[in-house]
Amino acid sequence: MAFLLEGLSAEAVATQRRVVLNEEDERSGSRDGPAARMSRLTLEELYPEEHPLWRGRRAEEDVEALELRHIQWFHQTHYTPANATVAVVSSRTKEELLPLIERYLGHVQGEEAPAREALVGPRALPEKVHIEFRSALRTPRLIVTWPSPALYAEGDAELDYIAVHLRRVLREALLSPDVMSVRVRQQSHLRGSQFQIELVGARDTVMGPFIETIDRELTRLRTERLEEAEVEGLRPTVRGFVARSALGRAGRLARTFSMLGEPRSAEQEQERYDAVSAEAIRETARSVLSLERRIVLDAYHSDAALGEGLARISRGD
Amino acid sequence: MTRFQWLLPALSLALACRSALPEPRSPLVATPADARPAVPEVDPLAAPTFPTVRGLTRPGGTLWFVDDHDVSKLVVRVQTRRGDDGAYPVGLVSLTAQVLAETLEDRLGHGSASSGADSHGAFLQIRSTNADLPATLEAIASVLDGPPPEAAVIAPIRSRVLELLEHANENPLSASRVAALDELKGREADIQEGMRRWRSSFRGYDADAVDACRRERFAASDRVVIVTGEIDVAPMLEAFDAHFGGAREPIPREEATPFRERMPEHAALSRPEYYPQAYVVFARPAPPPAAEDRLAYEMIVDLLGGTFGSRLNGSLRETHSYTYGAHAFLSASEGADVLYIQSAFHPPDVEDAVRDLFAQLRSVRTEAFSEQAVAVARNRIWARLQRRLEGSGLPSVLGDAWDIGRAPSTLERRYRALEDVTGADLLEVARTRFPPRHGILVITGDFRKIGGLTVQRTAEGFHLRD
Repeated sequence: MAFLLEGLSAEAVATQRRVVLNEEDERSGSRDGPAARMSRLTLEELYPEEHPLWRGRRAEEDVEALELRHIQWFHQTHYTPANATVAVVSSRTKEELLPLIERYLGHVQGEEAPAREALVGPRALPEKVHIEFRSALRTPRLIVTWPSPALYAEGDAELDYIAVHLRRVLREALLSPDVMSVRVRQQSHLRGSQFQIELVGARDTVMGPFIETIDRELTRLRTERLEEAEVEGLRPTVRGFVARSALGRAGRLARTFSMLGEPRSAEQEQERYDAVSAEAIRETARSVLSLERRIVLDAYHSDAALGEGLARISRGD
Repeated sequence: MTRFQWLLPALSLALACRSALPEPRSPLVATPADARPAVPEVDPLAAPTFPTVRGLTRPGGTLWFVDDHDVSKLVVRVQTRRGDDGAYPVGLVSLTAQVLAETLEDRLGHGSASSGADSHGAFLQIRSTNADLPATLEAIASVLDGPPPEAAVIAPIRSRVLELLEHANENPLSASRVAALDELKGREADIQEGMRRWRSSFRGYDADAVDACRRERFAASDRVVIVTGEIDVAPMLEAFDAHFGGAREPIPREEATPFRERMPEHAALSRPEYYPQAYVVFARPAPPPAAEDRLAYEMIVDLLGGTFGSRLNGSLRETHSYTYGAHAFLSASEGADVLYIQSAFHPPDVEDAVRDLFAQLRSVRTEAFSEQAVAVARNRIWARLQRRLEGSGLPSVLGDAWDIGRAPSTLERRYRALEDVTGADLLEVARTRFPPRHGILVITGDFRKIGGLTVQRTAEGFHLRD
């Protein structure tokens, strides 16, 4: 933070530019690959190009246009003490730690913290989106996605309960030689969050009809309250989401202080989960997991779909 | 993580939004140079400390438990030290463990059981609560020693496990690792043929095969039930006595044929695909976990390719930018402990990158790691273990200890002994454990783009022919 820019050269930036392009290829399977395209299709619906959290494909030429002076400006602006949070979780006492922090970080100077943009979530879907995706990928998938409340927002904790519940009931109903895995997640972040159900099928399985099973369970969640015993049965699993290791605690403290202005403890996290009721779960299912406004991606293999694959997107009924 | 990992993506996004970036301000560095503190010495971490593990042994198996109020989940794990060591056809032990885990879920009426197997052991693991713990122990005893799993239960799991394996095979790096292991074990390395062999082998795993595997691999004499979390101890002990206290028939261990690796010069596989990158996997036998020098070997692996600061990444990534990252790690399957080094390159870079990879590999036998680097690696290994011990990894650490026949307290002493390891010690281990004659290289990709290359082996190790 203090002295990086002293020794940073244009050559070092050029090297890292190539590393980043390699990273893009590796993370996405390929710059032009169908796996990357498939994961982008849903995100592009939630965060279209004009959205501040657009997560579309990063143009190679944009990375290649980065120069040393851009890195210098960015570092000066964002890597400043006023914009940094250090969280220490340790068995050492505060009296032992503070002199160390002062010694190694106290001298660092920099600009004021940059203005923080307001937290913006994914766009609300105006209608149902259906994406049919054909590609060389052998494994078919059915992925249903909704924009969802941000981490700590109303409904976020309830969606963790819903994810655990749906995973259980959908696994029980669907796991078979045709459906290999069921994943249900509330992917919550302080910014854009989404709730997702993903079924992975055996090759050549037609996945579309499984939406009926998903809808049956969603309808139950939206119209009937879970029994108290069912909610109690979910609590141990959900409580397990609260990180209690030293690293987990430190990460949460730094993240919440820097983004929300106050650090959150493991105890506060558990209280948040324990306060969730059956009625709140039903209300959240009704308000977030609409059967009408969601993105359904049906991905299957086709020898005819070369390269990135072929997507057909339809909106509305 | 490097200093640029987040910087460049954020900046490229800014550029993508077409916003003009301002010029940097002067002075470039705001902190006065004379304020710079001396670089601190590496502050040695304390060696990891294991929690107190209590235990008892009954005819039905051993019980280890850690009553820890800081652990948020109550976890029950069954570990057997009879793993996928080659005594059974490939994949049968994993399939059996998965059948037992899913049967356990069904019996208990809730999900989240997991299973696995490697060369040294196999496990089932499930979350529980104090209220459910007696029922969980009863269900485990029944699943391990009760009526055999039904054919109707096994068939869908068998299909699913096979599909998952085939799905994993779509990943070119995991397919290349399978091919490398095939070569090391003297089998024909062909990615598609390898999967055909798995498929036909799996079809033969019927209820009888799974039951025979269950009875022998999970035999009472070689299994431990591990319970961690905030435990109501007395009811748990009572339940364990009730369900594991009765006599069991002794079941001798099926012995596997020892792993004797073959030493081919190279294997290069052409797999034109929709992936534009080429994938390189280097594999060689590694010492087993119980070997005296295993932890020193792990330290070498960490320093060679365990982090972005490692020797391989210092050259392949930071100097030449051939790759986002190279990764060296250990794995154990089918009775073989193997060191894998893997990376992805653009096809035109493969030849130079492999040349460099070989150079770095040879260097561990000739250039000692600095004492500073060794100290950092020691801290890293200790910190990783401490993190597992404090988090949800505690049952698996105890399972690892069980597999190699060590009490957790002796494992603690073993890790503590890393305190005395020096760069010269690692050089000595490298000279013994990285002999130039061992290893196999698998390159997967489109050879029309990669071009031809020939690997030579000399007294110094592997080279590309000039």
